[in-house]
Amino acid sequence: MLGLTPARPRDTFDLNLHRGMAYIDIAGPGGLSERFFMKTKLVVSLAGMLLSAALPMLAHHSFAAEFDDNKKLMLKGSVVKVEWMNPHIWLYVDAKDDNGKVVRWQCEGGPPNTLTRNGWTRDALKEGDQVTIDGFRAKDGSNTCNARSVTLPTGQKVFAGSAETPKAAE
Amino acid sequence: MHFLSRIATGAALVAMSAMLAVPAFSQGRGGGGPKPPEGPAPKTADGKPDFSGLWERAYTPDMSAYGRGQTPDPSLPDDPAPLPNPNARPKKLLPFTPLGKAQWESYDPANGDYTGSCMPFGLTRSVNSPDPLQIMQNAKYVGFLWEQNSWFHLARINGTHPKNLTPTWFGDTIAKWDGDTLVVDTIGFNGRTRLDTIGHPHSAQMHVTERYTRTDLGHIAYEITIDDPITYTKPWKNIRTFTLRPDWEIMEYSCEENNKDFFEGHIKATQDPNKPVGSK
Repeated sequence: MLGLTPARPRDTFDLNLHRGMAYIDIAGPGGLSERFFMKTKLVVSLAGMLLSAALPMLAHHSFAAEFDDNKKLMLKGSVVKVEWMNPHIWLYVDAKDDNGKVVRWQCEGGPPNTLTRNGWTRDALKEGDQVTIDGFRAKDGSNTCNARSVTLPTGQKVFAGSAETPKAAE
Repeated sequence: MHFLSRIATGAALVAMSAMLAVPAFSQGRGGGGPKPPEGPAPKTADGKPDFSGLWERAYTPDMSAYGRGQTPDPSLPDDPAPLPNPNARPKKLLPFTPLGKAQWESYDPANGDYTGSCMPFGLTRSVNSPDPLQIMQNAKYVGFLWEQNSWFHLARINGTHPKNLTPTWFGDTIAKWDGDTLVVDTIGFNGRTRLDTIGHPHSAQMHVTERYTRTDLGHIAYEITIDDPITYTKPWKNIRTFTLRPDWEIMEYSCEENNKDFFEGHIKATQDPNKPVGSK
């Protein structure tokens, strides 16, 4: 289980709640993109506080308006394309479904300006790279996800933290 | 909220915070960055404080909450609600009017947040944005160039507000010098924006006063006061520190460029059909 250890020592995290709306404030200079916001659904199990909600970043609209925090997703597949554009980058990945059929997914990532200032470029991923994406499915059932992490076979997390010190974000 | 429900929710949030992993894409730019340059506050050729530069500002999604680089109005009472987790920051209670309180409590961004369709953030929400701000200045104007969505806004130094203003997203802005502090005064809002990401309301009758003081080469002391008698019973403020980032350049930010969430219909369009509160 991952704790609240910040990616960098000077980052801190706040989880704020207002009538069921929650947002994370990554404090200090350079937090989340302004439009990150989500409405989260809390699921309290009989076993005690098993929580299905997690807090991926979405910048410009309610997370719950598009994604389902009860539908976690792990994709293992091959990068088809990276759209390095505002307001968020999008990754396109071909992954096999349970029947072995190759299915194309599109997953939303972070703001390109923020990633650029952290030293990342669109070339951090190239076509054919094998990645593992942890995220959340869209409510509409389309092959759309919000990517919480993108990991290369080496274990390096792409587009996390600073490109110069990627290990620091792991 | 029912008391037991509050407890359950609070406990769940503690559990959530314990499970909280760092979203891969959410790491902010340079949680620290290089040490800001040191030295005295620079002056323009006419002897006024010079605010020119690219400034990093703390993201302020909630103007009622404490945060790094921002402080809510110290004269407001503390919010007595228990903190959802040990790392959450305490908040102040904003002085809502009954109408303002009703607006606040009925707001649900899942039903639409105007920024999702890339409508203008407006003045305060631009100031609150996490992307840097370029300030450019001459004797007549101070220009605020927000990287967020590549918007800009000008303040006319020693100008006056025209009569019969046409309401706009960012309002009409004039500025004057109060010693070495630039006092920026804005009215004429269209009332279609929210103050901050969490959705604090305001009316078209809002009057915003911002005070910029360049305390040294590397910093601006910033204070914003919200005066909106329709929504709040008294003016209240929020205090920030801006940090100079000479190692950065402002970048283009086209919100519309690839807003797939909106283009593909995953989120709602949110142009409120109702007449904004306080508009004429």
